[in-house]
Amino acid sequence: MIRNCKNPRESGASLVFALFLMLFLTLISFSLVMLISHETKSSSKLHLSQQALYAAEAGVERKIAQLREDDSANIALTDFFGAQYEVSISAAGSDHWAITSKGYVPSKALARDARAVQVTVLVTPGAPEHALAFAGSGAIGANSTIYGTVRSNDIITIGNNVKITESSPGKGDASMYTSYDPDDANRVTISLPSGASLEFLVANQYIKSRSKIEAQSRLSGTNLTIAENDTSSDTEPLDFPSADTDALLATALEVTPDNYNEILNAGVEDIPWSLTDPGATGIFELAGGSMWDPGGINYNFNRGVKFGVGATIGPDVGSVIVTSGTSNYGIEFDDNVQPSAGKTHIELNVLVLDGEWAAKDVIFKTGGGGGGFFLRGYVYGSADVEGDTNINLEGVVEAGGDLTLDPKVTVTHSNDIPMDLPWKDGYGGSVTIISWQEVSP
Amino acid sequence: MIVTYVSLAFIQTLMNNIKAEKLAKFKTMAYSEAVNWIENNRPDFDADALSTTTLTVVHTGELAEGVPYTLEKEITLSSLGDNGKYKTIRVRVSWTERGEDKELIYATIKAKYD
Repeated sequence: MIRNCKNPRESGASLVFALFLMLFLTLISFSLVMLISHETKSSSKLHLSQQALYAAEAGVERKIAQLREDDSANIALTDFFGAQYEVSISAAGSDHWAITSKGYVPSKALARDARAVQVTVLVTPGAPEHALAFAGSGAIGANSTIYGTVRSNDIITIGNNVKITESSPGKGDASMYTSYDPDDANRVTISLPSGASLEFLVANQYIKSRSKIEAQSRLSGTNLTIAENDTSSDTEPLDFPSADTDALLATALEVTPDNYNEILNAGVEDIPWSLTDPGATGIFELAGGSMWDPGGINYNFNRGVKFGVGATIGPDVGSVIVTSGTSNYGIEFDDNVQPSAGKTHIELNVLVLDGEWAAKDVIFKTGGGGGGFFLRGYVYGSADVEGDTNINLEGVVEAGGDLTLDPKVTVTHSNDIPMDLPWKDGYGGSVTIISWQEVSP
Repeated sequence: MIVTYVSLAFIQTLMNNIKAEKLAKFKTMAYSEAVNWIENNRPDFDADALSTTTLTVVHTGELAEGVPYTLEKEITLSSLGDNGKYKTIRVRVSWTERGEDKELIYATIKAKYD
């Protein structure tokens, strides 16, 4: 059919107009599609990128928590709320660690976005997690209560009505472990003789030994796990002391027969401190009934130390360290030594690192009185430590040899040790971020 | 005829683009709400007061007129031992757009440093 066009030019103009209009609308549509598409992609990218960054950050923070538990292994690829992270870690100097964490969304294999952060942290070793630990044999007297974990490298002998409970509500640190593994497989490593009983006051605790545990019917506790011949890390032998004594001594003021009047007595001769004998067997003695303030100082005594009957210590914190001497006791607290007014505890670290002590490295006496003795700090004897009846110790108590606790003693674990005592590696303390930067994934 | 078809296609594209643009805009706004909340509250994650065991509504509002949203958080404590404690923080922003439920979720971890 032939169309009847009176004016062919008129028909051509409409076609050209239609084509131009189509071209114009197509261009506008295309531009709009591109613009909106870019905006949508940007929004989506923003979301994915943030998700990847948070995943990488989660990896770093989890690694920091692990470092505080002395776990310095890498973290394998881990799913994390629609993302994944993986962490690598390397030592970066003394107590320093370099952590690199990569976050992927939604997964490493199908990553739509990935980000990485590199963080350097300083982990300052913290106080050990046990209340009581000893390398030799230990005896816990009747009616005593330990608030925290007990560890030993030797035999533990329990008295009547001994209790273990957590050091603070919810902490769940009320277990007992010994690494003692005698050649004689029948030899007991945790001993509960006739009349003895040990009650775990917190549920889901452990009593573990590398060998035998005697008279298990005398143990009680809700959901208590009793493990003999245990070879887990819980029963690894401990190294003593936990404190970094080299670092501690580096900050200590040495007290000698030549300078003790200046350092301890403000120049006044033999008041309140005296020296029983200038020879090696001499003892620095704080006079009975007198007062002494440690004044926030670590003292390194090169003779034994005795706190006389009824002496008062405080109000400031301090450390008494004995590094040489020869006598019955390295450090002796005689009866009724007490904290200064307004204080519940004497706040003092007590360490005997060396010397020859015929009886004990450290002894706390109360004369059996009901008043009790209260000390908060780190207690360590390189050999034997003894606590009399009604001794109350808060902090960490360690003996490089035997430990004897008479009846009605309490030992409570605490991280709050006076003088910011330095600790050896192996216990997760506080973490400080040294640097934090984003790196290319 | 051709012009009509092209015009209809153009209008359709325009509508789709406007819809996509709105979605992107709401997503960006939801992103800002979630990230701002996390960053503003980061110093307080250690405080037990913020802890919850399930998603809990923090606040509600409007991304735009007629587009209400809800911001929820969940902060749970995990323990690797006596010292190794950390909190997992999860924040969810949800909104309804033209009858369709939308959400954005962000999660991270904050360790206890001392």
